[in-house]
Amino acid sequence: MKNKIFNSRLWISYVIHSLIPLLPLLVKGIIGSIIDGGINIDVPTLSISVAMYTIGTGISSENFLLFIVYFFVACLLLPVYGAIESSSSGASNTNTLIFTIACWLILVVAMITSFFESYKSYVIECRPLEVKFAQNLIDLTSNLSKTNNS
Amino acid sequence: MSSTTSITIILSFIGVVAMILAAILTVLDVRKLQNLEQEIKNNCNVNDAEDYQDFQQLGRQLTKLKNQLLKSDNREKIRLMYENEGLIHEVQEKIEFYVNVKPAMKKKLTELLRQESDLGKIDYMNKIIKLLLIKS
Repeated sequence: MKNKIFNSRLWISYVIHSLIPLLPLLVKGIIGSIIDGGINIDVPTLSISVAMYTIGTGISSENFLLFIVYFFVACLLLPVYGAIESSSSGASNTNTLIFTIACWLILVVAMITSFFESYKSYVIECRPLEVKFAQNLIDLTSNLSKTNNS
Repeated sequence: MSSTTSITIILSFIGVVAMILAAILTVLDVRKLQNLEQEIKNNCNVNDAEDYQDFQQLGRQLTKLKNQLLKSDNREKIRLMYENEGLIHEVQEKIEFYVNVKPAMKKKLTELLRQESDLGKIDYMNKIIKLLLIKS
């Protein structure tokens, strides 16, 4: 019996736990593009969003070691940003660019890791979704499809 | 290069490396569980036709229980799980008896067979039964 990747529980949990928390960043990008005519996510928004995202992903992880790593990364990001802003030579283009690239890399890796965590929990370990309405929706659609097949 | 730039580079690099390490740890976790399922497929001992039929019957009973749980409210769910405690226990013991894997993997299997969520427990038991029946 294969662990299917096209599993509704997996994708619904991934959207709820991993993509919806990025909405503030997306909204900021959209509003920025409307106002300034180009996607411009400023460094404070990016650093706080990524730090909170990693903490949130770490808290929802079952592995304590992963939680420590995520928390450590979040704790690194905010002081680095603070150091850049507060230093006299701080907010130079080079520093901001390095920090921005690091934030985006961390975010992308966190999203990939979150996908694997969801796959492990909801496909391999067969855990049901914690969010009741989403689990009810899945059960309803699977019952409907069984009724149609019979 | 100013000190702020050095700090930024070093700490950003540490952050990225730590995240990559977290990704590797997660992938290793996933591989461990997939290896467990592969080991179960390769090393199960369900050779007897009678045991095979037993497992099929237990699988059917579990599916019936799951469908009843999905339609029930919380009070009914508690009643159903209480009434079917024997069935759940029998399936857990039978699976643990027939599955022949290393102790570390067996511990993980036991943990998943006894997980807190009733529906998750039943789904996982059904999955393992199907693995055992495929091999046989």
